[in-house]
Amino acid sequence: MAKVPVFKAVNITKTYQLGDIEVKALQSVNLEIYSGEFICFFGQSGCGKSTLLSLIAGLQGPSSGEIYVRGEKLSGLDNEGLAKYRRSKIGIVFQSFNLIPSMNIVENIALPLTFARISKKQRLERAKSLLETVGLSKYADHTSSQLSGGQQQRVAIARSLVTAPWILLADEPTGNLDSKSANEVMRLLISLNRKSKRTVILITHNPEYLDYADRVFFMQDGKIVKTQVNSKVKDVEDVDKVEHISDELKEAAKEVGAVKAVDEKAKGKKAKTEEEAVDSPEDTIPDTETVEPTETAEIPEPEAEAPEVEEEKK
Amino acid sequence: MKIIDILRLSFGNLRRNMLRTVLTVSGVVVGISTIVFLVSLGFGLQNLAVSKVANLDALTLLTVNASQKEGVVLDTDAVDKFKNIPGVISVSPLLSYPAQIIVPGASGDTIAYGVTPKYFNLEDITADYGSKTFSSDDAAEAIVSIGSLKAVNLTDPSSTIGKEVDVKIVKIAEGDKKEDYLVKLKIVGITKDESTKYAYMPINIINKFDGKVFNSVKLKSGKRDDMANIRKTVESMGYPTTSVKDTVDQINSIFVVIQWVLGGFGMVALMVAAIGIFNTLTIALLERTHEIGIMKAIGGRNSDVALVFTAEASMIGFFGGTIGLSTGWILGILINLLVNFVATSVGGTANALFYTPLWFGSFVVAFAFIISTIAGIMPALRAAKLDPLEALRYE
Repeated sequence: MAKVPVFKAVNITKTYQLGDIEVKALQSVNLEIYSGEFICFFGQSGCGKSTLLSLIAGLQGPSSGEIYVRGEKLSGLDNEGLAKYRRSKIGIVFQSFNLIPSMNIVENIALPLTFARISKKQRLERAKSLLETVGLSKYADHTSSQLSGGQQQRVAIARSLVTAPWILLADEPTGNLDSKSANEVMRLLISLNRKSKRTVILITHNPEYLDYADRVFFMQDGKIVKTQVNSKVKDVEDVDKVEHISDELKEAAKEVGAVKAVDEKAKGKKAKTEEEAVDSPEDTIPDTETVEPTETAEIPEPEAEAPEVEEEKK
Repeated sequence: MKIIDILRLSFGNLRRNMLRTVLTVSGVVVGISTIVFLVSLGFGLQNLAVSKVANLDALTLLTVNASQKEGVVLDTDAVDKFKNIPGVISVSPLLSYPAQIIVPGASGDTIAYGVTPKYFNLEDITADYGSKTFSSDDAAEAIVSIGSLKAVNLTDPSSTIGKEVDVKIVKIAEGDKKEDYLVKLKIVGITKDESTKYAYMPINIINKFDGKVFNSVKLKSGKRDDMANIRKTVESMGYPTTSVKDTVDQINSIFVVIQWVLGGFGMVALMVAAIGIFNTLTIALLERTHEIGIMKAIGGRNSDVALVFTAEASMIGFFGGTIGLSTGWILGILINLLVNFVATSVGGTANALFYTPLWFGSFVVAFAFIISTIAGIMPALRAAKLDPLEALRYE
């Protein structure tokens, strides 16, 4: 692994002023993320993980400290530069999908390329091929309101990939989804990381997903309280399997006081999946829209064959 | 974003809320059609007024008057100089004297005008009976108004044509001493003019008694555009000039005021429409705040967001302007038809009351476009300045 981190935060803090009260959303956060890693930020709501995401996404700047992306200072960018950064280096997947309702699915996916001044023909081609990758080709002309939550989220993932970004940021991507759709979305994210070596940053308060991460940053009160390397990374096939999270992660969670949530979540999942298991045998996914790994593999690698989106000058 | 994509996106946004777009555009249509209707009426009436005063030919005419200045004499030398001014295609001097028409047993006062045969054509004076001009520069002929003939009881034009009469020309020389000259002229043409008394005769006839100093000289230019230069040259030689153009200019300057007043009414309506556009976009801004957040989060520039909003305002202006222009124009045609129908049915003449010059039509559409774009700038800048994170949280 190349040792220039794709993302590096040095001593960043973020404070908000709420009237007279100063809220410290992030305090002295230091971290490095390397290309191809699957990273989880885990913590309860209010722990600062969403603030951290907005900083990584370039949606706001830190109050102090410095963020480097591939060695380049983010604070050195003006509005135009930040827009370009968000457009081409970062792909964001939101909890609430955030598709634009007045556009059809293909146009939604192609929108970042529209901003990048790519010709209509080229960007629609690219959008359609990504739509195929997420298994929703037949919905190209639909609007987002005609799709289920899980389908919308897969469209959102396709949109986040359209400019072949360095980092895929997913903020609670399964938070608004039922467990079946959530699994589909997770499968997609995991295979994007495994097959295409894309850097994925997952922000979650759901402990079930921690096993898929290479490293987990546990967050509490605006700080990263523990960084745990996961030695037994689970793969995409394991998404539907019933299993407790690994002991080392559980231990880590216990240390930072998040163990209660971890246990409850694990139990809940087990109970639910046992019921479902009656009529659906393990490992068979009775869903025609399932994303096959082979399809996923077609997603271009971020560095190698990715169609480096070259922005046309006006 | 490419301009075509900005337009596509803006158009899509306008289509999304069709009713609101239609209402906002209607506001511009009302304003623009009012302006077009009223100002076209102004232009129409102006044309009508000018055409009553002068035909287009009259605008190529310049009257050079005798100068009071010493040494500046309107004589044959001057006429020769006028002929050499570039653009002058015809020169016609004029002499006038008090005169009497004398027939056996009666006489009547008139004014004798000595002119060249081409004068009638230049001045657009047409004899209603008989010949339209003299047979030559020296012919002993006259074209007389019927007003001058009444006093000598020659009221029947057909029997009068060809009649020879005596004309006494009165010259007032130095020291109020009168000198009379009697000439015998054949009446070759008669005008219907009953109220004024005049008798045209070849200038050479009067010249015989005179020191060849003319009262005035008519100049005709080939093109109307040459007029200003010719006039300047003549005036630089020291001669005062008059032209129908002076009257036309006065009429025009009055109508400019009228058109501004008429246009002003429409302008008020357009301003209301501009406020409507502002309002529409401000509401759209609130509605789409979240969407703007999404656009910025996935890489939309501030300028993209601003341009999409501005383009929406501009499109409203352009559509409103174009539709308003057509509406105002068609309305003018319909009203004109109606007025002419009424006028002709009571025995009047049909007139073109409305006239929309092409430049005015283009100007009005451009004006609607610009005003609307200006109305859109503020909401657009507000949209551009939205903080992406706050916009994303806005529901």
